[in-house]
Amino acid sequence: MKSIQTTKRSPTDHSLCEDPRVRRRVSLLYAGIIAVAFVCSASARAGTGILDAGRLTATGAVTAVDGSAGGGINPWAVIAGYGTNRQIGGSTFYTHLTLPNFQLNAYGAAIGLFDRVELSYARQDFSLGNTGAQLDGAIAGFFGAPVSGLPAPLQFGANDTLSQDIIGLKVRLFGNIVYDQGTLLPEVSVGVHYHQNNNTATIRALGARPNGSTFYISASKLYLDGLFGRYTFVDFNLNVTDANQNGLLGFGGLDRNGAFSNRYHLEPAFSIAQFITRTMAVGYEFRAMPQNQLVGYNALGDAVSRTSDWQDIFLAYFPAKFVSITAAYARLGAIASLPGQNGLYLSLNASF
Amino acid sequence: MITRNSQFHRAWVLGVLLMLPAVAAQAAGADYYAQFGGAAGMRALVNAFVNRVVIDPRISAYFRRTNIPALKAALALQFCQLEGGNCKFSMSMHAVHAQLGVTQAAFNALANDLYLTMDRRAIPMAAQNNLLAKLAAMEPQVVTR
Repeated sequence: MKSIQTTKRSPTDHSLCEDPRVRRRVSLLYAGIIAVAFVCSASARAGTGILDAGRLTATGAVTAVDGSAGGGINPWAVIAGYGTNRQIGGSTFYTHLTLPNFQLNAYGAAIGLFDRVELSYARQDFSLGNTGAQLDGAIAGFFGAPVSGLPAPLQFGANDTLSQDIIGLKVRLFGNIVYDQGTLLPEVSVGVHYHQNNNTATIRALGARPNGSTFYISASKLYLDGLFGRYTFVDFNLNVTDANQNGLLGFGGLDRNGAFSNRYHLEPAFSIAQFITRTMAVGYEFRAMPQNQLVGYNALGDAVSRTSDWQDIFLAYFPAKFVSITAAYARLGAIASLPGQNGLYLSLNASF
Repeated sequence: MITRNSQFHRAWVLGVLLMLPAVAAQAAGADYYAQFGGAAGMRALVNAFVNRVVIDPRISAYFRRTNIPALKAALALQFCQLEGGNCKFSMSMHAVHAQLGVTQAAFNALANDLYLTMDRRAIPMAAQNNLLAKLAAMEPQVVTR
């Protein structure tokens, strides 16, 4: 982990655009948007083609940080992209979240098959910046040992990054957010996210498992003639998971005997959104998080383990059918002993 | 050992409440028909709407053999009835679309043309969405593929 530190950037030292890795990703994303726009304009004349994006603007939602079509932190029941029951759609996204002690960059893509099945991939890089050295100090202080005496997996140093890959599968069971009007019937999907954390040794040193899954069921409902005669959207999810910080700190934790414990927790989550126009919505999201015990049943363990439920308020805007921009204020609370991890979230999404 | 904070319990209550009829605020009794401009307004809207539909490359093929004046008269009657204009529209949506092979993409393209036309005619948003919601609910009777 330490050997590749020099290639990692400190979020506090450089602006986002100066990071060559970010620049590369952003240019890839723009290439993706241009390709998507080209496919869309080329097929617009065909009328009924398989890539013709036959659903209405915004019905593919934006992309949640785990790669699924949804809000910012919750997947929703809708299938990514604009494909109808006879079409294939898809989306790509890039999300950046700045917190007081961390930065999260996430990017990925999803494909929607026949408005029934969604496959998604997301990569999350969680940069510790100068916070890594702070954590080293806190851990060394707890053990009464010098930082150099800590086990290697627990030395973060400056500019470390935790990262994970997330593969998602979502299947729509029934319902359609647009067509189910004048009824309480929601659109309902079930899904799973499989996470592979790339910092295996660190996660194991915390007493967690580097890979794991989150299962969920999502019920989404759109009222076309909702509040103020505008679209009103509500979503309620149940997650079954043992993820710590959505997998960034691995899965599961320790029981009282210090043995690994991966008891799954049932966690509720919900999102609400109110459209101001057909292409702009404001909303709020809540996602409960499991509280596992990491490191051990001691003061250090309590500090590192402290988890908060995730929340955000967001503004999403579709300047064109195929592009959306989401800005949010995310409240992730305590992460790895550091409270008040709240900050600005920006996400760019291109769909077809 | 860390225990969970109290927001968690509130989330269950809130989430369940949200899935109930969150939106009972259907402006009950709103005179949407008047907002469409009454009989004359509805006729003008339908006229502009159908004129847009028949040249929309996504769906114009569906209307190649349609009697356009009859279609306009039927739609004006239907929209009038849906928006509380005291009209009697009695055609079966299922029957009139049974042989057309309408796809979801075509259904949505038509809805898209309708709201673009309503936007152009400056129909108030609540009236627009009331009509769109009622038409959207007809998808199972219209879409056959």
